[in-house]
Amino acid sequence: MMFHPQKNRIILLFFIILSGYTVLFYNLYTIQIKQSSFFTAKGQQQYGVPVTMYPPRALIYDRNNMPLALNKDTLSAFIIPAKLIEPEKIVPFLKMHFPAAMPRLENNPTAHFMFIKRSLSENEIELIKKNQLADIHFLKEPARFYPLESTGPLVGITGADNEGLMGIELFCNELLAGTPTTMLLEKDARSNCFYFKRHMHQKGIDGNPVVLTLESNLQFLAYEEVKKTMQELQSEAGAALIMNPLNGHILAMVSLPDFDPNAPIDDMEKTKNITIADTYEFGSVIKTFLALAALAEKVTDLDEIIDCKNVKTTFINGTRVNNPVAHGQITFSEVIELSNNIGTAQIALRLGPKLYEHYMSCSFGQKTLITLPGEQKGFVNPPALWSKPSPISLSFGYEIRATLLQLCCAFCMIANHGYPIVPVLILKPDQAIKQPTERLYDQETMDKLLSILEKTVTQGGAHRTHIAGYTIRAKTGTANLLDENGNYDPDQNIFTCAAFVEKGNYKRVVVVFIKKANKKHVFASTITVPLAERIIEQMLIHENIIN
Amino acid sequence: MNYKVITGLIVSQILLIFIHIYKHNLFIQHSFNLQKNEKTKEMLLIDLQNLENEWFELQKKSTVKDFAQAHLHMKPTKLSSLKKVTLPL
Repeated sequence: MMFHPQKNRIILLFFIILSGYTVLFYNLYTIQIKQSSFFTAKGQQQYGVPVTMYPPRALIYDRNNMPLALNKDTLSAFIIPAKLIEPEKIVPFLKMHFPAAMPRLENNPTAHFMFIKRSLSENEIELIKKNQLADIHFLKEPARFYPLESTGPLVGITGADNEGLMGIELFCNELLAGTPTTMLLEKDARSNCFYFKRHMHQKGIDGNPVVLTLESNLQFLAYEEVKKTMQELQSEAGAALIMNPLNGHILAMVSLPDFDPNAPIDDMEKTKNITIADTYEFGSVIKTFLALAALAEKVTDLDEIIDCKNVKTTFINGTRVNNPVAHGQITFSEVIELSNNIGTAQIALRLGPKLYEHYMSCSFGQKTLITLPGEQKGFVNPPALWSKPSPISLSFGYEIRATLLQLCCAFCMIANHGYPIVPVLILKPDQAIKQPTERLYDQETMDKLLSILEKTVTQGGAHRTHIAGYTIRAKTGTANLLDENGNYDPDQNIFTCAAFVEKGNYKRVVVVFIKKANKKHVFASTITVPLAERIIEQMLIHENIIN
Repeated sequence: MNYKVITGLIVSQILLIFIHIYKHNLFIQHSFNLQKNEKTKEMLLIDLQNLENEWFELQKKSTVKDFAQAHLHMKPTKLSSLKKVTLPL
């Protein structure tokens, strides 16, 4: 056999090339078929950019479709600490103008993203632009704009992430925010703005606008009047509620002190909606419900003569009872009209534990169905916990703590001739609130009570609320506040006036409240009654209820 | 014959490749236009939103009240100064 070295070399070369091709095809097989899904995923990772798009937050409107919360864009400033171009410039700048960002920068010097400040003010934007710092970048972020500042404690605000933090913004957060859309964008390797294809992963849902029962003009008018009174008296707090007793719609809900929802909050206490989040012992205004209980239980009648002993101070059932004015023998109707504590104490003793039952049936001591965050349920001292003076205290509005909204709802029940009312604040989407149809008090009892309250306006403590041509019924209350030692301080008072105005089919309940005044020896008749009168007058003009 | 078939096949392949490239270019062009329009729409919506905000800012009740009282010397209306007039039909 002859040896052909050239042929052998060719065969060897052939096998080398063959093995090379084998390796190549094996690799091709591995990449294209065996590990196809792995490399496809890798490729998609590089070219596919997942994007989450949040729908714009839905708006909040008043009952006339005037917006109470709008959307706006704010600018936030950020840096990339790991890639600072001019660290010698940025560090002194932050130290001087944004010191809060410095500890974060020192703790995370290699971070790939860091906010300097979110929701920059106009001045801050100007300052950053003026300094021309290459490291500071701007980011547009959605935020809220509230055209009616007086609704701050009610409508609430959103946080830096546009999530509801309080009020309606928190209560209806899911509804307003909607759900985000997630998609995968196929981009080039540079991941520029332009994309080739868009793959929808999950289609989001737009937020639903919320329509409140509020009437922004009434809200503003009531707010201005409460604010003015507070400034005159240097009061600590003030509030006003206007409700339609026929359907429970809240038309105005003013709570002061308040805050500017378009500016950073300096005091969290101001964000509280005191009409639902604070409970008070309202004093004589509660005598309305004592009268209601007494008339319903028939323990007295309008014309019964009650001996008020013609003294300012006396002892009833071993309990000291004070009254600012001495009254002699007066009718039960006059006892309530003149707000005589000695007379009401005697009636309370006749009622006994039934007084508690009536207070509870008037919705005190339980949350209203408004279900707003922060609502308090209040407290009515139950008979099991009563001491000897308890029924007497309860008769003139102590040992019973309630929110202004509860008081307003209870007065709505009276204005509605004994039919209770559930307060309604959200008009749309429909909350499917069914107003109770069961009557709590019969017509005879209600007629008697209404006549007392009418006389309170024409002859009694609320006589200043009288407006010619309109039927106004009201009751006032001046109550002492507890001091830090738990004693009632006669110089620290709260003043309340609950009134309802009627003309034909038109009915409105107005409750006003002032906490503390810089004057001594003053009563609700000189503080909250004029305030209620002014609000009612403005309301009647605004709603065209003119003689 | 074979030569003609092979040439025809090659030419048609090249033609199909060009058609495919042209179609892909058209797709990219329209996609780009779509995205450009989307961006314009987004910008216009932001402008609209800003104008709306400015509009409501101008209508702020406190601003209107201050202006009316300071510049137009208007005063709050009293109920007693109003009278409802019913005109005969």
